[in-house]
Amino acid sequence: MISKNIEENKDNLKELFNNTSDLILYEFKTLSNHRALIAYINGTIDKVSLNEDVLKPLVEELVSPWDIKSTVYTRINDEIKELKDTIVPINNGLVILFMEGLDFAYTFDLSQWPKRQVEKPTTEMVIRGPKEAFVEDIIVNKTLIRGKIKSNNLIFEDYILGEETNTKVSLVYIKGIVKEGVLEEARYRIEKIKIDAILDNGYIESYIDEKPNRLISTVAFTEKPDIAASKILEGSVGILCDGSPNVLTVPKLFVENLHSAEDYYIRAHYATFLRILRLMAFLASFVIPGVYISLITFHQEMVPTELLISIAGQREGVPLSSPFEALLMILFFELIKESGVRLPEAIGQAVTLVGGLVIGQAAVEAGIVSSTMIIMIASTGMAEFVVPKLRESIPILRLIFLFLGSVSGLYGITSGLVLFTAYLVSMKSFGVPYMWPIAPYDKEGLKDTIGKYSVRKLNYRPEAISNKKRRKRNERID
Amino acid sequence: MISQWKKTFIILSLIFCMLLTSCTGARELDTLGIVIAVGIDIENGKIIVTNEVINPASGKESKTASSQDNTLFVQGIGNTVEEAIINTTLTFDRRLYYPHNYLVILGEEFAKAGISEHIDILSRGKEQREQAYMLVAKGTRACDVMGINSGISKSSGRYIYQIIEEDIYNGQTRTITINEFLKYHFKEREEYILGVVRPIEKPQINKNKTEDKIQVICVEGGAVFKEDTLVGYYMGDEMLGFNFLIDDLKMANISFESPKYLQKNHNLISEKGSLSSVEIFRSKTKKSLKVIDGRLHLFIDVEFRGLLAEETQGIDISKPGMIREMEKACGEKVKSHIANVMNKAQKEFGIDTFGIGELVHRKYPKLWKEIKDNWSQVFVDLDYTINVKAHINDTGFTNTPPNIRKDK
Repeated sequence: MISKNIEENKDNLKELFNNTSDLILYEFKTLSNHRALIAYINGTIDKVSLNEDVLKPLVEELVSPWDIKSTVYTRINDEIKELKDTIVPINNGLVILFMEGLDFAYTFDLSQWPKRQVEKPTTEMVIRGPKEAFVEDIIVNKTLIRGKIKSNNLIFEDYILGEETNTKVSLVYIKGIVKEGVLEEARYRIEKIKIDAILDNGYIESYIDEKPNRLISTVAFTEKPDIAASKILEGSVGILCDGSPNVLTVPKLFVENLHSAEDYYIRAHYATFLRILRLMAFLASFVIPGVYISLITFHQEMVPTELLISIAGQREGVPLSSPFEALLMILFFELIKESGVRLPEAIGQAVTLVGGLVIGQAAVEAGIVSSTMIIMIASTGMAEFVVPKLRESIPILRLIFLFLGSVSGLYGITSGLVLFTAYLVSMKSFGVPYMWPIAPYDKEGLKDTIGKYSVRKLNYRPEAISNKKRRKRNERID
Repeated sequence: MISQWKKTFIILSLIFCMLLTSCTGARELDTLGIVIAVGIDIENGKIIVTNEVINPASGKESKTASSQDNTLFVQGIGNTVEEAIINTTLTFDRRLYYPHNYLVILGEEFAKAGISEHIDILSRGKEQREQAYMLVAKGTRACDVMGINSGISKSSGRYIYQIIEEDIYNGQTRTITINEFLKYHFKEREEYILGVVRPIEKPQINKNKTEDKIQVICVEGGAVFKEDTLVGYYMGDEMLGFNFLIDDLKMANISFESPKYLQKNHNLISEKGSLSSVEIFRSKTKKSLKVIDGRLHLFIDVEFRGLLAEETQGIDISKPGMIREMEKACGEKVKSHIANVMNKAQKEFGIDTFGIGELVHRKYPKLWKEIKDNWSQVFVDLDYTINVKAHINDTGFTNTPPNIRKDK
């Protein structure tokens, strides 16, 4: 209950916020000689605006507590009746105004958080196409999406999640295009989340993913507004989370891993070529070490003679068996990768240099590994970077296939691939088959899968995802 | 209800049951001796198998030149080929690995003693590669041919292999793989011809070397087998005729005497030069049979295309009609090559080495049943007609040879 007495409110607020030092409680007298109290968290609001638009009119012009609405120069956000309802607004950077004689409080949205400017994307770089990326602030992110889709059908639905963090989470979709079932499911899964803290949308991802232990995620994320917008326009549901510079989109298809935003901005034949390249790179990135090991330990007859002699020459004197040699190199490579990501930039250079030397030259000269092995591992590493969206799955898959290859040769690799394919086909993301449109087959969907038709030919939205199939297009004479 | 872990465990163990049944024999490369050439000899009833094994150190790129040889020669002796191979493990530190073997050289003695009882391993052995070439060492043992390397290749086996691979330009050799050999071996009434390899001594040209002579390998000719026993060889032009006959000629050079009467029309400078060469690049032979007056008659129709590579007679090839005369003369030469080899097969060996028996079988199955038991006699008296159609498609860059001078 909010008391009509200012002192009482002040004490109650202090108690409610446990005497935290950054809660500012400022008491003053209005022109009408009423006592007033404003409460906010230091640093979260625009102080100039508070002085000019709230305090100044109240002190100089307010004649009656009932005239506050017509006196202040800023929009009143809300009227609060219960004291405990002030917790969320105050924490979100709103200003609360208590008035002597009023048993409710006004809130003003003057929030101004420290935030990053919209910058270039750091992980999804493009040569052609928009070069802006989401930031940590959810309001800015919403604006960025709205900037792409200026439609009255673009809808944001807000949620507050996290018992302690009270993080703002927002669903975004286009009414009419989104599938009702997917939307209902997304709402249901979001509402079901019971967690004390959400620091990044990775938390949400693991809650809304059907089986979070899976090797491959069925939730897509992007840091580029144009990608998010294109997904939403295809019928996906976007999930924004305050504090995360990424936007989740569901449902996700496997082929999205092989796509890049740029595919839609460049010429179709080149995009097709790049997608085929990425598919091969994906396969190569986890199969190569296993295949190499099975070739040189089980199927020496399949290697061309000259190459086999060369490999045999390099293997001569290497103390480790081939599978362990491969394992060692894979771990070395992962070490270099991880240290390159984590270390401060200044030291990162040195690490790359030392790592390159250790792996590239010293290891071979010392006779610990053969140089062919380095070529194999390095090529898988390169291939891995071509499909960055699967970087969380590929190293594990690589180890699995290395094991299969060294235990049972090409037979193991083939069995592994069959099982892996079955695994992929069995997966579903929000009810949509993960391998759509390959399995189940869809002719229209295949126009934008591995092969990429020109945008002029893509007259249909993916049937599995969107509600409305035909895209709105001006009539065009072919 | 089975718990999640139990389910995972069951599925995993099923997967591993499936996986672990496969080939368990993983072999590290540094336990294998990669064989690139095999020589088989017979001596006092014992089989001697000579293997040329790659020394892996030769594959290593090192800055310091290694003094080690690129290949090692490993010999094993036994009563059978397999026993001889297994016996090598008594003296050699690697297990011999055969899938990269591309040469099987049979010693002359071995070939003369009959090979069919020893070649079973070539088709039965799991590690034997069917693409290996089969060769007979002419006039010597197989192990005397191996180890000669006067080429650019790193090893002796590779040297011989490369010679065989490149000899499509010649036409005087026979390249036959184990696979093809087996095909011939099981054919009815057709004798097979294997490739030939022999060492030749040549004078040392490089004056920096101390030796006066060097040994080189020559793969000219074909080894003729009757049943499974070596009976003789086709050499040089006979082999050319043979390859024409069995329609297996890829490229060849035919040197022939230029037609004499053309010389009158031109200013002849040199009397010596009288040969011309045609490089054949495509040839097609059709053999057909007819029964004429109750006797089998073989028709051999050869048609080939070639280019004029050399002309020493002083013939102006640009003159109309000349090229036809040249083609005719070239055709006559090819005809004589084919007749030579036919003659040798009929008179000297008395065996059908050209697969004509199969032709009879196909065309006259009833007749074949009657004559198949004494096909050799029928073949010896077989009449034949050779028709050669030559086409010279290209005469090179010049029209007039250097021995025609315009002012004379």
